[in-house]
Amino acid sequence: MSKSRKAEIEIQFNWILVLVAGALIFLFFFSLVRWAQSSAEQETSTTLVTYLDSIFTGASVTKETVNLVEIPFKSVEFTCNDYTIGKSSRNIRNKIVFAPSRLEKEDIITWTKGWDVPFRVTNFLYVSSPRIRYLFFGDEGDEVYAFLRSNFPAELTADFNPSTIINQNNFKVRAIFVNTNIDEGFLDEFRKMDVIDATGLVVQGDLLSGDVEFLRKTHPSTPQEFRSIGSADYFSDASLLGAIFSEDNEEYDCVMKKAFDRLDSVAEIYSDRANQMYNNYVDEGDSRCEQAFAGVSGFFDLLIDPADPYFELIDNYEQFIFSNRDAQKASCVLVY
Amino acid sequence: MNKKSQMELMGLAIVVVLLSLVFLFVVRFVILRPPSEPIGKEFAESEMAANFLNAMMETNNPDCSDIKMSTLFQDCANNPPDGRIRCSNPDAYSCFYLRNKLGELFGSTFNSWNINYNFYASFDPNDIEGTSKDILTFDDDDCTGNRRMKQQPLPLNPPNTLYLSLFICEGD
Amino acid sequence: MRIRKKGQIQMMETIVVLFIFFIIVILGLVFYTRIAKSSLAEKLDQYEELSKIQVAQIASSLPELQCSQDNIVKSNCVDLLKVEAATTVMSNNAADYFDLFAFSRITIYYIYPRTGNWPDEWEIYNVQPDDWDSKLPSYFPISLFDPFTQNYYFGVMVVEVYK
Repeated sequence: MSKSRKAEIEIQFNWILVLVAGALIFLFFFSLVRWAQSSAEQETSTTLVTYLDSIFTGASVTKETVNLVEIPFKSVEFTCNDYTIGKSSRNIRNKIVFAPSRLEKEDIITWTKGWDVPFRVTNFLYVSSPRIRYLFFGDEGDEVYAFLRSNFPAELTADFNPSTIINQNNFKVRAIFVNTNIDEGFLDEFRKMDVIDATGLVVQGDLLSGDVEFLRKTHPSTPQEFRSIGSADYFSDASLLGAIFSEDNEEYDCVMKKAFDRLDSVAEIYSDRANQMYNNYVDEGDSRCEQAFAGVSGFFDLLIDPADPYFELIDNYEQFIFSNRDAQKASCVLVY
Repeated sequence: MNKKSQMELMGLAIVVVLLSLVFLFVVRFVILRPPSEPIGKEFAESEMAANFLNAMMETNNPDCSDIKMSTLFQDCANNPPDGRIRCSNPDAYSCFYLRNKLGELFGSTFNSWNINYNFYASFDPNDIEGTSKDILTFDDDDCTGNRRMKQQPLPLNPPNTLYLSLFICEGD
Repeated sequence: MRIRKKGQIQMMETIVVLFIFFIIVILGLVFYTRIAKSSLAEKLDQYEELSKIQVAQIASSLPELQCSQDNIVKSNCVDLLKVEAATTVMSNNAADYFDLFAFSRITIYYIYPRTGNWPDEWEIYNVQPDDWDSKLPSYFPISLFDPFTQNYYFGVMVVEVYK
């Protein structure tokens, strides 16, 4: 072989070596970056999930608070028992959280309200977003409509008896008909929205109790109207609000079941306490306090795992109030 | 050829110098940084102080006609040197009773938890070391380093106010 | 002969440079992983501390325990009759409270004044994992309301999170 040919071949070998080495380095760093990116995303999702968890926990133990939580660049999906951000999910087994199925890349509003039956059982936590539009229809003189009008958080987007409804490009729309007929005239504005993003709720009842019917609009390709997907009962304003923030009756019933499980524990504790107080007043010979606590333990027992919890709540509501009032008048320890 | 190899060596040397600088920064600002105070511990300590004061003030004393601690403090501060309210167990006026019962309380709590603390009941809201003007002092000599403080004012006969200051100490 | 050696030397040089480069990169990665691990351990410690506070705040805010008069809540206070009932009720329904308290132990101690009318302590929740190393306690002073005498006493809620 001549010297020049040898040199030519050696140079080419060198270039091949450089190419192979370069490719290896490139692949190495590319996979490193991909790994770092996925790891960082996972870390962010986990951090957000943990952060939301502490927000939910904190919010659920304080009363009547509205909080704004900023969620960057991620969407959150809710079910009755858990919520998911990216690939991270967290169980909310026993927290009472009413939320839509999905919240997208935006601020989250949390609102806490105590569920009083009439004694406090637990706090309900409502989760929503300013990008969800709530349309309320009802009579201005109606008790429930007036309550919603004055108590619905200003941080959320709500219209009360709007005269004209124009699509404002909201992520979701929910129409609430309070003791009034369903109005479907505006649904054409939201024709393009998915069936689960344009929903409705019919409320029949007062602030203490009633029933709710969950609605969904029809498919975009068909004439726009509301169709019923299920109904449920509510007891007290807190559970009515839960129905407003839930998208369907299954989610609502699932969350309310958790609330009733808590009611079992709380009622059992109050029953025991009432019984002990009654015995104490009997021993002390305090007839007025004894009278205030007479039979109260039994009323609490009726709320422990009843066949029809809504019925028992409605049936015994006033008994608790009267007993508490009697105890207060007699300067006894209150029933609750 | 001499220059070329020298340039290559220079290149290698620059790379080594750059890497050394990077490692220096990493060691200085990451490995050797002072550990940040755990937020949870800080919050827990200040909450403990606040909760302790609140719970203590609300506590009734069956040995003293069920009078609250806050009332006993006010009586002791308004009526030096001993106070006017007489308690039964021990048979003493409010100031001595408070000293006795608070000693019991601190003994059952901070002392048994090995948590160092300082407690001053003083007319001076800025009293952080205890003075002879305090009506009550519980001083822990081992209380060094940073302290978390919570203060509770108690209104006395105008224009006076009694300040109850509880410090939770970090140092052992 | 000289030309061949020169080419071989250059190739060796390239290979050695690559070799050292990869060594440096691997060292850097090992370094980074160690730092990330220690920062993660620090975060876990903080999280553990925060979770103890969270458990205590939730426990003292539970309607099952808290003092209330006609739904007006007295903060940082538990009703002793509720606590007595809760030791049984919450133990029987520990699964319902797991989401709130996870693997932890919550005990309420009666500190002062000692009247002899009440027990010294109540364990209201205790769920242990199968395997745990430590459970450092955190102390949260609270008021204890005695409904019989309508007096307030001094107590402590001790929260231990299993690690």
